[in-house]
Amino acid sequence: MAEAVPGTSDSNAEFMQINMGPQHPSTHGVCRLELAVDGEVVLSCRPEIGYLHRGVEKIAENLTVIQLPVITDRADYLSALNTELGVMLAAEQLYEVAVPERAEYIRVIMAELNRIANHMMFYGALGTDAGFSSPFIFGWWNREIIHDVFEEVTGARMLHNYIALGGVKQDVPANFKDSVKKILPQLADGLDRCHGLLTDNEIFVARTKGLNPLTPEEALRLGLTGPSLRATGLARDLRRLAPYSIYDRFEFEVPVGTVGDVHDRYMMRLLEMRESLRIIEQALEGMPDGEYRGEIPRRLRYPVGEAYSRTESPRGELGIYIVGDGQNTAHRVKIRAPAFVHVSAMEELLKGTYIADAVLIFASLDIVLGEADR
Amino acid sequence: MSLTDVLITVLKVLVIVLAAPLLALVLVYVERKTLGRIQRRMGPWHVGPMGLLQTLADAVKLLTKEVLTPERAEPWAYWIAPIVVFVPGVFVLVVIPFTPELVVSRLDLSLLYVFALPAVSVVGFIMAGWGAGSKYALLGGIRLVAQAVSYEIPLLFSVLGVAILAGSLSLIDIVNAQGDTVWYGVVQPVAFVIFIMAGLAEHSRTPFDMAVGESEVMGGPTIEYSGIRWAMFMLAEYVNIFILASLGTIIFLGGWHGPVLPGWVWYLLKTTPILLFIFWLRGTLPRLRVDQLMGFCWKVLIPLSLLNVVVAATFKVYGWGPTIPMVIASVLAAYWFYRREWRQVVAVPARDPIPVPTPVPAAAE
Amino acid sequence: MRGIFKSFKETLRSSVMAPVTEMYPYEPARMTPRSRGAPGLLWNDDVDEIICTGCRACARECPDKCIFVSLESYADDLTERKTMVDEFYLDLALCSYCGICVDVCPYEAIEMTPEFAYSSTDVRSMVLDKGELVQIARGMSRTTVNPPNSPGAPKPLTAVETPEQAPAEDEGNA
Repeated sequence: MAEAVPGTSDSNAEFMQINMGPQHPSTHGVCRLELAVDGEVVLSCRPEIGYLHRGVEKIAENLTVIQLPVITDRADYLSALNTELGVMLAAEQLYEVAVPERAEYIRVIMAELNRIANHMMFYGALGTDAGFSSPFIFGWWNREIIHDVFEEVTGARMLHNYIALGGVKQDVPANFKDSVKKILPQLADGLDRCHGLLTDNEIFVARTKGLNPLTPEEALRLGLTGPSLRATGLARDLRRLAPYSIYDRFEFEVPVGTVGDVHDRYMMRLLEMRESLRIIEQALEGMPDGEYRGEIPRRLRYPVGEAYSRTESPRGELGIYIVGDGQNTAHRVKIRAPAFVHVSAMEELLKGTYIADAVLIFASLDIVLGEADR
Repeated sequence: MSLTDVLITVLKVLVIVLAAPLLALVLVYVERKTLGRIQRRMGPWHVGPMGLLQTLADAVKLLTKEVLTPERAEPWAYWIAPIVVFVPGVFVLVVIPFTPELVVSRLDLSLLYVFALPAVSVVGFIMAGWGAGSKYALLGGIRLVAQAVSYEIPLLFSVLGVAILAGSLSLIDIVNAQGDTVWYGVVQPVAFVIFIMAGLAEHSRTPFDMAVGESEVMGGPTIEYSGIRWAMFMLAEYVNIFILASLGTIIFLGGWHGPVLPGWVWYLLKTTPILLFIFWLRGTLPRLRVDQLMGFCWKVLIPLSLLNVVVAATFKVYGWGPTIPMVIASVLAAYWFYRREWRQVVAVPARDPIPVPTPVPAAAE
Repeated sequence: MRGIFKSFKETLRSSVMAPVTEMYPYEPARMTPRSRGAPGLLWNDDVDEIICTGCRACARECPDKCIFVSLESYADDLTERKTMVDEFYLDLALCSYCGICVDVCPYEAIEMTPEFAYSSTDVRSMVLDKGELVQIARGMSRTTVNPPNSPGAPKPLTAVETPEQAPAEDEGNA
């Protein structure tokens, strides 16, 4: 039990090896953090992943472009529609297929609804790690509302296989606008409830304010993207920076934090949910009639070439890289998962924190192991 | 003491011993229903009408589970710990006066007795933590014991003020003293609040349940226990919660006093809100971190409770009795203290920033 | 302390609102027309034949390769078919419910039904044969929408009874 502390030259320091084992009581997935702990303080951390590796990218090499969303959905299962959007943007670059207007609007609405659902899950997980179970349930009422809409439109509550090459697979049902209009105030109200329960709660603030502050330089060096990076003060949102799909038509704010601590990262996601509601409203109003899927070639062999798409998934910057070589199936599909980078950042972020805070920091980065391991 | 007296006492004790686990089962059910209501879901409802048999089913499940003994466990400590934790709770139930007649044993020092015994169960937690032979259990046990021992001090001091005002250490006398004048909870609100908080922390309930936190690395000293042994820890916790609420009623809310209705009805009417409040706290507050918890105890609760005792003693010595100025004095003292000390308690220690290597990569945009 | 009171207010407020629990087995599950449960094969009532022609497009495109189709020759006066689907096995345990089989079928012979309550203790009963698939699509086994003990409950799907009755090879490559 007493070994030299990795990272220090103090061989007299006695410390304990603790496994924040693959089985977390919290809900992030299976990740193993080997902590070297001195009393309550974490001295070093070695994250170990791979427990959820299913060979997504390898399987994708045996799938046609029609079948591709089926497996990429399951990589990051909480934000499946955003992953599908990223994959299809890359595929459309490769196939050089145009997407009609209506399809773009539908995609944006679906992706933003998915963002809200994902952040609600984050909210629940963070609350549970802070020590009580109510935020989880508060977050899940809202997720269930969104899941019902998803089921009406795509047929499935979570793993949708809806966004397809050239648009979306089927048009939205006739009552789509009404359904979404009905849930928007419910979601806004639910958001207020969630906000009221946790944000100002002194105990929550005492646990999270000032915890693990980061400067933009540090965050960039660690490779953080998405809300965790914006919490440090850098306004870097791919929907603004490198707009994809039709995001440049919508007016929305990019919330930015100041200190980059856990409380800021949490606030980022709450504010982002509000902005997503705004985007959905604007998209609903502006949605034109028309085709829901563009012209795609009859024979769907992958053209020879490569394509890379960057999208702002709820977790961070999601990159999809597809290489085609003229076959039915892709030559290589690579997913640049933000969660993978965040897990590797844990090694530095956890130095010098208390164990109880380590759990909160892990939760605040919104890591989903399905994406990190693929 | 004639034989019939002895037999009656034995019978009463037996009733208490049998009633304690049942009480705990009922409380578990009430807690789960309350949490469900807060979270807009049904609590248990499937097993039995309205889920009333759920905890019974859980108890049966626990009884039929395999009782594992870890390889590295210390046999004696591991085996006896659940008993040491559970039994003091039952002993305390013996002296709690639900009504003047409905009490098993009338002690002159029942107040002292009631707070001395849970200290024994703390020893049980040490035995559990050490005896399990696992480092997580040990760490959890150490934390729990540190917390329990620290919070006993404000617990005792908060009721000391009441004992001074009542002039007696007997629970029955304290209740009777409230029958003539106003309840002690009104006169010493600060003490009441401290009592509840310290009691919660003593028994590791949210928001002070870091030592047994489930999303923590350690699940507390009881993680190596399974089946009936773990059930005993659970039952002990709920019996202790009930005792806490009962004591709150007796010491601060006037026990069985009240117009019209019989004494035990008033007793239940007063204990139930406290219990519901305790369960409600579980659904509403996150956990305090261990150092914040200890800081809260030593820097806020102990000075406050001491201050409270001083105020109570002053009023008693000068013969002013429990009156409004006492309330104002204690509340003002509490507020001043809170403003001064809470910020210090919740301050996160400054941490060196992550060293940025040179050269610093240019921050994009 | 104000923040804590705000939390109290929130939970107090939510404790007087109705529970959002859907009492599933005692109330029918809420399904939508597009809900993707188990696939089912459609039957042409006019000519009393299965619509599926055995073109194997679904078996080729299925990402999980859970469909096996074989043909036999056939003669009929009403239709001009020369072949008829002999065996059509679909392994529900492999199926990922993506709906691609429905998308690529040129004859609209297969559909995703809302059927989801088909769990069983024998994995071999998860391989559905032609008859069962037709039954699912007809709604004769829609235990989903009408739970088992409710008045509208249909007869349950007859799963494979014994291991002897199970097909030896559940599916091969299309």
